[in-house]
Parts: sequence; structure tokens; C-alpha cells
Amino acid sequence: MKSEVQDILKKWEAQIDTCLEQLHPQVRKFREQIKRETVVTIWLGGPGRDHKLFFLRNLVGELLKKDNFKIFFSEDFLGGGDLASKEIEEVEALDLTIILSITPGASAEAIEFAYLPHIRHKLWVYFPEEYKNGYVFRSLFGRHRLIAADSLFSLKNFEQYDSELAVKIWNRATSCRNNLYRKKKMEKLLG
Amino acid sequence: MESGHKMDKLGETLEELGIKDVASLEIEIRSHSGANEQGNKQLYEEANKTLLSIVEERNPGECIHITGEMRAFADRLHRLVCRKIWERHKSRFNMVCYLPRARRIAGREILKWNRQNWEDTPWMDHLNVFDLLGDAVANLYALQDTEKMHYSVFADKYVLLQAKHPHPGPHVKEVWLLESRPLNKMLVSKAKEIISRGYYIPPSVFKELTLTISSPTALHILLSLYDKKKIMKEELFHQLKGLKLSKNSYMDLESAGFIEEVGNFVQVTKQGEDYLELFCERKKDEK
Repeated sequence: MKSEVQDILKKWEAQIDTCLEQLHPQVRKFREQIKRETVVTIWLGGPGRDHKLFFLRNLVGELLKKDNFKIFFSEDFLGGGDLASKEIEEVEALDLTIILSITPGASAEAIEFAYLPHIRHKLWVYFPEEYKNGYVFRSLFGRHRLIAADSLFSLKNFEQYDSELAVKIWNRATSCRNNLYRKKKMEKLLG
Repeated sequence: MESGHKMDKLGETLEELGIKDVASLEIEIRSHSGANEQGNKQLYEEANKTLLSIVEERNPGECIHITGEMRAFADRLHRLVCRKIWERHKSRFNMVCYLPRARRIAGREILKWNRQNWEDTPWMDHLNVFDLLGDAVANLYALQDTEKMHYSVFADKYVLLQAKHPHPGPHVKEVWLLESRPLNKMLVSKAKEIISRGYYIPPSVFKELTLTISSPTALHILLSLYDKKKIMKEELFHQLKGLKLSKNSYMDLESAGFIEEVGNFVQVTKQGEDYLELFCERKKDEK
């Protein structure tokens, strides 16, 4: 199992490399430079420990960790209070919140966070195309405008370890890191 | 004579706001500026510094600015004040402005609107305003029509009052910095009613644009244009499509003024080159 997991991770990394190769060579250089200087903290929500896809959520976390992102799972934190309040506190303190809206619990988190303006701007939800007819999609897409074309993915393919979702998440996390780097540079210049 | 005019105009302005019995409000005029650039600038600076010093000591209470084109955000000192209010007290400055419905749907529309309205504002300030709003440090509410009278209320007793002025039009106007608890209270109440009619623009609208123009796709577009000087627009779109990359980065870079279309070609602008420099200071030397 361990070597199978490593194979999936390698496949995803190779796909990211392929994407980078297609871009201007300087983009890769920027990536190396920025990742040395900027740490981005990400709350990664999705299927819980008991779910069969938890290992894939974990693997997405591993992929991002290898690229120098700091990943937090709700399960990493201890604390009192009700679960929603505890999670909101966690998310407030981090740079980016990514939720894989695959399970009812993860979808509930996404909708709950979407109602909080001070959280919502950090939130990015990835949603299975297969569930597009349901209420959760209509709420996140129609009411909260949280789902765009690049936040949809094929759950069927993800279950078969396809790299599509992993690449999309990496792209989002990288944009967030570049943005943070840019902001810091600009703040220095603006004084 | 000067003082008489000042009082008459202030009385008229308060009357326009529906405020009568001005004498009972015990208004102290802290400062006054005629309708000129320098005077306005000094008075805004004084108001911001007053608020800043209060923020250092205590929560400034309700801070609301009823305005036309949210030009106050172009002022670095004002943005600093907004950040301090958030950092020290976890409160948000509220800006209520005129923004047509069609402009509210995407960050790029708001950015184009601001660039059109805030002449001579450097690109870095425009982007810094998006950072401020995208980080949910201040709130922005949009109205479908321009409010007739513009003012700010802050720290329970201050009012920054603007004489009635045309919109669109020159942005200099007669302005007063006033101190009066009863007047502040009355105007806070009015401002809250205006907020209730406003459309809250979520921080994500601003955040999304800043992320899109920082994406690997956006950097790819800028770097490709920087190297080739200009590229046929169709060729660039074809390339993006081939790489399965969204056009959003292109559109957002254009709204920021970082790239521009010249005939059938696209080229990077001077601002675009400067923006690119933020990601790699030695870019120009390497070329």
C-alpha cells in the first residue's frame, strides 16, 4: 500500500512538472525562489478519517507539503467548544482554506464557512461534477459564487488517482503563495 | 467675512442633511478647507491622524464613510488607519460608495472603475486597495445611486463633512472636520440606514483578482509578452486554450493595466513590467 501511495504522489508531481514545462521557464524559477521565502498555511478539509477517500485527502496534503506549504487538517487541532466554532477559529488564523466537498460533513463545512464574510475570502471549494444536480452545488455555486469552472473535478477519476484535482489544488495554492509574496514586496515599497 | 461665509455654508450643508437646530448640537469646527486640492489634502490628513491617534488608545467605535467613488481608499494614510483599526480592535472601517450593478460582478470591473475615477493613482495603490478589501480589513457597500451628501463619522464625536458637490465632477470641495457628539450620533444613525440599503461586496471579489494576477498563468502571460514585446491576441488565446488555461488571468491583467491590446496585438505595459519586477527583482538585468 505504501509504495502504491508513493506512486500516486509521483504521478501527480510529474503532472505538475509537465504543466510547468509548458509555461515560460521563468515561472519555474519564480516558484523555486518564492517557495524558499514564503510559507503559506492551508487548512485542508475533506473526507474524514473513516472515509475511504481520506487517504487521498491526506495525499493531496502530502503533495503540498513537499512543495513547502504548511498543511493543517481539522483533526490536527485539539480544543474545546463546538466543532464549528473550533474550525472557524482555525481557519481564521491560516492563509487559505481548501475543502474537498465530497462528503456531507465537508459540504456542511463549506456552506457554513461560506456564510462568514471574514472566512469566505480564504475559502476555495472543490466540487465533484457528479454532484452538480444537488442542493449543495446550487448553494455554493448560485448563492455563494464559490464554485468556478476550475473548482469542478471528476470524482470517478479522483477515485482512480487521476491528477486533475491535485494539479488544480496545487495551482490555487501556488497562486496564493505568489500573491502573499507579492503583497509583502509591495508593502515594503509602499512603506 | 471669511468666518461668516464658513458658518453660512456649514449651516446650509447641515440643512441639506436634514439637520436643523444646529445651535443645540454644540458643534466645534476643528478645521475647515475651501474647495482646493491642498486644503482638502491637509484636512483629510488631519482627520486621518486624529483617527489614528485614537485607534492607538481605544476602539474608535462606528467608522463609516458615505462617499461617491471611494477615492479615500487611494490615500495611503487612510488605508493605514483602516489596517490599524482592524489589527488593534478587530473592527472594520465601512465605506459606502456609488457603484453601478454591472461593476459589482467581478473584481476586474471594480478595478477598471477605480482606475477610471482615481486619476494619477499609481497601480500599486490600486492593488493595495484590493489587498485591503480582499483581506476583509474594511467593508465596502455599493449603492445604485450617488448619495446627495457625503461625510465620515468616527470615534463617537467626529464628523468629516463635505459640502454638496456634483458627481461626476472635480473632486475638490469645501470640507469641515467637526467635533460634536450629538451630530456624530445623528449621522451614524443616517449612515447605518444607508448601509442597510447598500449591497455588501464580499472580500472574495477582491481577493480573487489578486490571486488570478499572481497565478502561474498570469506570470506566463506577462513573461511571454515581456520577451516577445508583443503577441497576436488570437495566438495567445490559442496558446492558453492549448494549455487548458483560463482566460481570466488575461482579462484581470488587462483590467489592472498590466497588459494592453494594440490592434490585433497584445503587449505588456510599463506598469506590467514593474509588477513583474515584484516577483523577480533581477528580471531586467537578466534580459
